[in-house]
Amino acid sequence: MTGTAPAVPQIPAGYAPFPADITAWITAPFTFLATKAMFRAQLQGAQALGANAYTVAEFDTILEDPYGGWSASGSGSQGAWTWLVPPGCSGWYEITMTGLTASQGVATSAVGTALWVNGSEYQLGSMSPGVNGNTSGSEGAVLVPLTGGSDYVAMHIYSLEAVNTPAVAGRYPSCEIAWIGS
Amino acid sequence: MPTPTPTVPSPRTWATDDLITVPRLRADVANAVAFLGQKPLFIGQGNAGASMPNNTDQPLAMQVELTDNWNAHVTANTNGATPSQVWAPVPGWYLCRCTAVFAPTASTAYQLAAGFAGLVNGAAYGPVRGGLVIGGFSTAYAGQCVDLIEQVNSSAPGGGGDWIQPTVWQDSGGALSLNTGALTLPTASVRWACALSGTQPLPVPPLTAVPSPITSAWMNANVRDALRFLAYPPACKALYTPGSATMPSNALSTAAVVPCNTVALDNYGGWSTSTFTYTAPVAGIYIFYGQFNLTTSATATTYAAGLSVGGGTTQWGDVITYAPASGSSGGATVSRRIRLTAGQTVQLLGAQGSGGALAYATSAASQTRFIALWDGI
Repeated sequence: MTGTAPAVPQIPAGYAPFPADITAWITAPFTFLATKAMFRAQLQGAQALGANAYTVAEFDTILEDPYGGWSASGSGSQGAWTWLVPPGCSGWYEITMTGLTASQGVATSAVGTALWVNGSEYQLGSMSPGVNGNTSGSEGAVLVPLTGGSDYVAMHIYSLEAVNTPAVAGRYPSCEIAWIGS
Repeated sequence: MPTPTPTVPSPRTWATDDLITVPRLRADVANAVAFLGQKPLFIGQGNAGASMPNNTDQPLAMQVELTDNWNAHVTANTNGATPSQVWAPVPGWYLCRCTAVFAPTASTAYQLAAGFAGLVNGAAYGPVRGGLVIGGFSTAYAGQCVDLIEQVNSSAPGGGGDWIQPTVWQDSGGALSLNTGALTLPTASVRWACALSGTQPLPVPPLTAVPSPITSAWMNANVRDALRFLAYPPACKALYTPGSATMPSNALSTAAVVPCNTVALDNYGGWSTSTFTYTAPVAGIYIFYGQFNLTTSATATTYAAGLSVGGGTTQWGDVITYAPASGSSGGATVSRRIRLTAGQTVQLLGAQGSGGALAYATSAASQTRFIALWDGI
């Protein structure tokens, strides 16, 4: 079920509504408010991360993408491994990101997440001290204004050392995107 | 803010012979779309590199407004309001997130945290911190804090109502400056999430096709009850009230359920204070956040926080380590959007690897809590 970000219905005076009017004024906006544009994905395979660098998360498991914004290969102006904001769904979005890495093997390591918008870094999501000898994880969120049909976003994972993401259930890097308001 | 200013939806009940008049549609439908489509949302950043004193939960002044759609904030001291406060434009529960980033230092390790303080129904609230994170080592580590905060009295900034104030804390032993990097500024968001009261339990909005003729039953289900549900969705905030609980030294595979034993908000009765489990009252996407904070560990310690659905594999958030230099407490945070069916359960789990059991922190600031909020079908 998809829709567009609702405009406030303009209900003219002296007018007896037809069912089609009620659909436009009630059903369509309420449907969007209850089933917002959203996206959830995980990276379940082991992806190599560069040292002291942000690496785009190449999500291989799309949990849900009802608006079809995800592209692993890119299309037109949309970059690869990004989610395109659905046309008609401009607004503020919350993007929740969890980055995890395999053991970085040093005592003072770091793992983090950041949001890229239209191919450029937009904002840090999180940055946490990693664990020597175990999985490291870091969670955070970014709230960002996005334009439907043109803006696209990507989650990047920061690792201080060159390691893989963990291919272990429960330790998959993940990203969730949701419209939160006009 | 939207014009004309909408109010928290309070839709009418439709009787059999009620006419669907323009004033009624404007009062219920247009108002609701205006409010729910543009709920109060503030996002701000501090860009002045403010110097924060040692071991003090210091207000985060936000000179930059990324959005402030209901004019809840000022960027300079005005009428008794300060740039660190977000004033409640309408009553409700507000979902808040603060990310605290200090300028990186190479000095001895220290700890940092984001948090919130404020005024709730005229009484001081907090400060309550998020998970405690280590700093130092030339890396700009970030502290995270999410809270669900009640606001009863609304007003314009400085008008005498309730307000929410993001805070930052560090224990390096001296003053430390906040980060000034354009992409790593300390940031806070405050957004309306749920009315203070409402009708429950209600089903998820049915959103069925409009019949012809339109019936009062359809209007009540698709307008009245849908709006009541969207304005007052399932929401929960549970805390750990300090007692004698401890978390054993464990691994991720043997993580412990975090004992949030006190309910601050649970409008659909989803939380169990005996099993520390949230049972989804209705199906849908839920926002979950959890954090725990433990007392001092004398050794380098791994902390991890995660969420388990139906007792299944824990989905981990923070998995981090400290090598304490100052003896501060430590913890971790997790946040996810998870799809649940009605009746599915979620638990907040924690792990720490100090080698011995650690008590949950007892200070009011170092809180352990769980938050759930329905956010869509």
